[in-house]
Amino acid sequence: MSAEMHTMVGVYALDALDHREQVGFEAHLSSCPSCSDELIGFRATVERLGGATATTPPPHLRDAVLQLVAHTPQERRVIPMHRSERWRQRMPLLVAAASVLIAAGVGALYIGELSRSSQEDDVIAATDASTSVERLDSGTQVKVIASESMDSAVVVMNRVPALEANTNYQMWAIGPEGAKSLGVMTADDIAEPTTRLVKGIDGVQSVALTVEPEGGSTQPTTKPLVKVQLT
Amino acid sequence: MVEPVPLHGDAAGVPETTLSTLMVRVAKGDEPAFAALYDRTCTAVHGLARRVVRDPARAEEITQEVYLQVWRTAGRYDPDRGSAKGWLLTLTHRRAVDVVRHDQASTNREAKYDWAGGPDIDVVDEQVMTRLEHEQVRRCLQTLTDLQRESVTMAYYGGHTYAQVSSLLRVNAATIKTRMRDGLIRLRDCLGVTA
Repeated sequence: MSAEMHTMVGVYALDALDHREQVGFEAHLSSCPSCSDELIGFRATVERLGGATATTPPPHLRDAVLQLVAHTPQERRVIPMHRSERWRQRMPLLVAAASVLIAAGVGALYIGELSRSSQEDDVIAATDASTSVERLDSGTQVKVIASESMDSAVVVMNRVPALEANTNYQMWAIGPEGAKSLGVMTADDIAEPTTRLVKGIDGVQSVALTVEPEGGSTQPTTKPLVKVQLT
Repeated sequence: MVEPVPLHGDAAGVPETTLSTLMVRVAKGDEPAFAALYDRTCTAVHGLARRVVRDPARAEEITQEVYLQVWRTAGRYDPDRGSAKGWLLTLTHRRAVDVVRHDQASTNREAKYDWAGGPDIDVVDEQVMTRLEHEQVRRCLQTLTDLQRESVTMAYYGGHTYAQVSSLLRVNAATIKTRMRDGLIRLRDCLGVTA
């Protein structure tokens, strides 16, 4: 690294280059490992300078931000993440439920191999992924991110109300031929954040969530808490 | 004798792992996680925006824009490249600097403040950890030479480019660049940054 570039790392870390110089330095940075090494320490130093200031923003700002976010789509690019252990433990139940559905000849619709969360990420990151959201006044929100090219969808559930004793939630895929169960969920399963990967979405028009007697039902027996129409 | 408080990670006393975990959830579209992230980082983000732009209304705009950007682009956050809080503060600083420079360009305001005191802090709102962090940063800034300190603080807290600092201090630009780097090295070592 040249002496000139050496001094530039500090200036860059302080955001003290003008825009043109910044772009130029970033181009250099990608081919300069010693610059990158020094930058890591400078960034952490500058972070301390930044973190040493504190002013509480007015409460109305929080409301404004949260409201904006509720209506703002996210960039389709996610980092790899791992499913919670609890979810893995619940899997046998759901796999069993799925097997029953397949055995009963319900068709190709089933809950996918859920231990591989990267599949979820792939769906979310798919270029043709489209998001459908249903929100209730209570704050409950169910979002379905569906990718036709991957024939899969990810269901994200937030603030699903607690269940009464001896009941479960059950998720359904609703198509022209009626409702097909996507699995039964206990109170623990809906602890946030809850996501589900659904494979085989061809023909599915909406995804619904109902409360069912413990163990689930073959068809919905209550009015859906939430029904998300796929776009 | 009070036990020394470790000042690394998040100044609000939230373990960095928690913020990173929240970021992962935010990237998945988890709104409650986003609200928690906001609650845990908003005083730092807003404090930095206020410090750089000084105007309360402008600072609010910046804070709002930063969180919207965090929501939209949470998937870009890479834990291997720094802490979640560091990422938030970087976004905040860049945005605040853009605003300051835009305003400077349009009003050509005289921008010479007394930077030597280091970061501002809102005494009413400060949290204990932030106060300790503030104290340590202030103390370490005092270990710099005057020119190093002025170069670093005018750039970081004032949002000036090195060229502007050079003209405000009437010191040639190459010297300012060197002082910025020397100042950061001294600060880094004084703060015990191990990254």
